[in-house]
Amino acid sequence: MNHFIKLETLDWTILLATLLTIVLYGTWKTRKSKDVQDYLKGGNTSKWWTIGLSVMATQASAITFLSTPGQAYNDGMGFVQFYFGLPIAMVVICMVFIPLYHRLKVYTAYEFLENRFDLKTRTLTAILFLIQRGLAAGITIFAPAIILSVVLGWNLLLLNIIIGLLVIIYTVSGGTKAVNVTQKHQMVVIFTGMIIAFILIVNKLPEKITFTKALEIAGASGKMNILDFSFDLNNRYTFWSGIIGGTFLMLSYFGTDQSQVQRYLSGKSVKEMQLGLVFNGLLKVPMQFFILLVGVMVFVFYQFNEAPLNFNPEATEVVLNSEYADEYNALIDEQTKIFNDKQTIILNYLENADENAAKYIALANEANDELRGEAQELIKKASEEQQKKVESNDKDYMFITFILNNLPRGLIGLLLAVILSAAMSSTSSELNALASTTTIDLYKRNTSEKSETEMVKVSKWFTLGWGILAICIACVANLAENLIQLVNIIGSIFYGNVLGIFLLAFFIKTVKGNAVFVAALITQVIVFALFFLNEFEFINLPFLWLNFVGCIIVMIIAILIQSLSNRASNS
Amino acid sequence: MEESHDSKKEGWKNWYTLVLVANAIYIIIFYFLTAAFL
Repeated sequence: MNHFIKLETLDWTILLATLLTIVLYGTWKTRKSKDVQDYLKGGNTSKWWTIGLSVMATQASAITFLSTPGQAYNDGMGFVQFYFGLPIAMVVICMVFIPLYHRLKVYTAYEFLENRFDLKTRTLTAILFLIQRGLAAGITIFAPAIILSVVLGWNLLLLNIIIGLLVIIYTVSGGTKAVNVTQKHQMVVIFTGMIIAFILIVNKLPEKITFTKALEIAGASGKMNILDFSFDLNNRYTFWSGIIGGTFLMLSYFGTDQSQVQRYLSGKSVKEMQLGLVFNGLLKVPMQFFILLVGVMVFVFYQFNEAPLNFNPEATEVVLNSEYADEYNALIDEQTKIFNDKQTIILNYLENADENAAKYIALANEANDELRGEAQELIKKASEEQQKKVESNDKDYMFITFILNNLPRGLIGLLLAVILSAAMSSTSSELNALASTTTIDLYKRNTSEKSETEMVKVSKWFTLGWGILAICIACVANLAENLIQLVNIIGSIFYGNVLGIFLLAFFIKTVKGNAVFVAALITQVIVFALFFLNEFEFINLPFLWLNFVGCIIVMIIAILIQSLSNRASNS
Repeated sequence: MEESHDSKKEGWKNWYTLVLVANAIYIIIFYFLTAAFL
């Protein structure tokens, strides 16, 4: 049995034409870079809308479009709260970070730290960035490739290599300018694809189901619970974690991560840079809301069309070829029964707005979720028995399965172009930033004076090198157990510390280089210790909180060391 | 010159206020959406 869905000529044409046009146009348009400023800062010619789109394209990876609708399908719209801190972070970066970066004419965020503290602090933060972002670049390629290969039967290794090579072509050739130019077009493709998909999904609902009715049905199953004001450390997405944790995380990401800093440093002036981030601050929350709404509409669609028990076709195939096939088929029958019962209840709800009917819809969906949970358990058992690595959690497969089975030919090609464009736009920013940091913070700082042409050449080689490394990481990622989670953990272990160093640099003028460096080393040890204490269940601290904890600890320790050293020198 | 510099600064403050006010409005809309479709 073969579960793969075949693309038709029209899909292939639209997909290839979209991707190749963007790559070739980006490469041709930005083929001449005179000097390092041109190559790494795009000649400082970017307008605010280019910066805004580029910043959004960098953050929105393929997983944003594959996983977020699935998140809404399973857990509702609450994930949007994660972005509540972003506009606050944008304002702080516009007011404090950008003017300083611009005044010092830095190429990288870490360059600023040498100016403020010393070389060793700059080198330490640059290396922490390279480790974390280098790994992440591989995962940005791998994450969509594994999903597309499972659903479409494309060769995983080949897909990793093709995505990586396409990005390498224009990023090596045109540097920051190429990244910015391509991201503008990629964002147009992404917005167009998602808006058309949304309209089609709403049109696919039964005639009597208006948009408001659809929201009512989603609301009856708790999918419209957008805000959660509870104080629960274990609940990842609440209003408070979004406002407090989100602000710290976004400050850290947009203010100190070179893959984002480099986007706005390419601006024509301080104002263009600031307006670019204002644009991001205004649009990001509605954009995430919209992507989640697409997921909720797919959920409503499956209230009237029977959904697969598990959206991962590979997982279904494994369990149906195991000794658990009968049990799994029994679950499918039970799901069909729930689905049929639900049709009567929903009709009653829509016609009479009966509150009891709303409760019954919720109960039916709860029962369905339980079945899906049981199905996942069977898949786990079956895959362990067959020693196959299969993802039983189907969140990432929901939207792509819906697209492939329900959208018209041609649009499937466009939406695949959306997903691959998103993967390429994030990866290009990452490679561009990794190369800049290696060139400026490590190579240039530690070698003798080089000519501009030579520096551009070196930057290109570093971009190529990081690109090849990213492809290699993507190719071996399937071998590691839950590598995506691992990369997120590594990010959280380092991010807080780096943000703390930057906050000290910006806001605590009395703290000097030695105090910060020692504090950063001590903090890193403490953060590692906290991580392992949590792993071995001595404490309960989900890894996302390490961002916040690392930031606070490094600031406190640095201030303490500085005041002790001041006291010692005074006495 | 000083005045035009100040008015430019005021203009930027307005942009930042707009971002924060827009965020607050989004949250208020989400609050009503949550309440309306509970």
